[in-house]
Amino acid sequence: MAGFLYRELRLSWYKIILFMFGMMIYPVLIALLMRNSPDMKDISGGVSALVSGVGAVMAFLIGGTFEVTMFKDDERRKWTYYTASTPDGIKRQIGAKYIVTLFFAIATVTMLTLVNSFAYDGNHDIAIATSLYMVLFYVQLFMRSLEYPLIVRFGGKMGNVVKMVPIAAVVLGGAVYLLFGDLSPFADMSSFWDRLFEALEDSETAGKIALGTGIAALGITVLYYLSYRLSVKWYLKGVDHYAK
Amino acid sequence: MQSKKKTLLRIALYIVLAYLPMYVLGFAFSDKEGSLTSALAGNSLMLFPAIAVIITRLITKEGFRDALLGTGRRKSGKYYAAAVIFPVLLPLVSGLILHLFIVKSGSIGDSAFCDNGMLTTAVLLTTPATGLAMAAHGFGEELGWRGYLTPKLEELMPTPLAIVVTGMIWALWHGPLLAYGYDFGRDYDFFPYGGFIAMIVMCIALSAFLTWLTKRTDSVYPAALCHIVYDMTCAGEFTMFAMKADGTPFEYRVSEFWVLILSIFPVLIVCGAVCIMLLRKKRISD
Repeated sequence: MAGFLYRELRLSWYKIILFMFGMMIYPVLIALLMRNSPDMKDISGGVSALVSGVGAVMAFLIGGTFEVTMFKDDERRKWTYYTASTPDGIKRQIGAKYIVTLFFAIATVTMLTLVNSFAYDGNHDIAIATSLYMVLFYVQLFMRSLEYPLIVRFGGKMGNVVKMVPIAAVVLGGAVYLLFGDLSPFADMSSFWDRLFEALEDSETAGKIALGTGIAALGITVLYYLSYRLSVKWYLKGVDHYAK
Repeated sequence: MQSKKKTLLRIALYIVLAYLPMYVLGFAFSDKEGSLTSALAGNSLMLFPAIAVIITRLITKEGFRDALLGTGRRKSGKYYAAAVIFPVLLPLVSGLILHLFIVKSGSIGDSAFCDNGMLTTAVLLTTPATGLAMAAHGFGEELGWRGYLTPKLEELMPTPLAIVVTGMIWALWHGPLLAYGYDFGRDYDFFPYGGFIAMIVMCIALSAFLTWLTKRTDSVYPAALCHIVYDMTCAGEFTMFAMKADGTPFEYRVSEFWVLILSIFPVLIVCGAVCIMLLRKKRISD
């Protein structure tokens, strides 16, 4: 495994550094803004966590692009057959990619935490958003758990198309809900966030959310492992879809 | 002889590089209460031992071949599981000891841990989950202490002694925080020396378990995971045993310093001793 991990880092080191810089642009800019500006008086508590969250979502989205690219870079038939011919080669090749993805997500959380701390040092009214980063970390792993087996099975291009099917279904479901569902919680959008933060301050609601997060995190960790096993199983089936 | 001298120099260089940022930031940003006034300094402290290792290895041109950066031997999964389960179970046993021997009035049933099942389950689940997301902090320390210092000390002395020395160096690394009451507070007679002694004992016991994990897997990641989950469970889970459901603390027979020593340390020390014995046994059989 160490060899494959080394290979990933050796081949992708420049991408890792570039993406690390790229994905931190938004959070750093937001942190600079929240840290010093006198205009930021209204940005405090839960609202500041939301603003930090926007930067964090951007960071995870950009980081996610790197993770997917890393998988697609190895779509070559010769390499696939070579890997498969080595002892435990498929497990190690796929495992290394899953581990690099995990490390990259962990590194993202660490950097976001440091940037958030930097902002907090300048302005103690803003929130420490570590819990939010943790949620985004697991969302990231969840997305990759679904995406990787599809990329392995159908190749990068086709895999993306297949991935779009459930996303389109969710969007469609959302549209149907917006048309026919209960929209009363969103009726007064001016007080929507205030009501949300108020609800979060209630210990029972916070407990329920924490429990849900814990169960989801555990489920996603198991799903990530199962996704790895599925990718290993499908590795050779995807060769026909490779362009090279 | 030449090799021993070289090892000693490498150890010295690593220790200087690991201690320097900790002591500079620790004193510069100290709030004189055992914590730091800067969140950025506080959140980056755990990363410095790893940075020290990287710089040391680059300066000494050792390379990273023996840095234990692989994911470990085959069948290492059970040790990864142990790395998460041990720190989650430890506060449960410590909580029992606390309520059996130290709490003066009130029972374990009155504690926040037993009062709200939903919250307890949430804490038990989210602690390891957050630990995984924050694992870089654990890795930051473990790459230095277990991934570099212990193996280097083993070149000079037997493994159990290397574990003890690593534990002491690791504990004293927390010096600027301990001097003002970190972890053990300030409310005891021989402050701050008692805190230093307690930290040394705790770090030796933990060092034994973390070294055992590292040696069994040939990887620093289980130790890193265990370290960060332990840090979190001690803060979260154990506090729930120490508090009543309404958030007020129980009445104890001893001071708060001794509450920590008497409830957490027995399990830690037994576990550390067992690990040292297992590592000695392995060495003899080798």
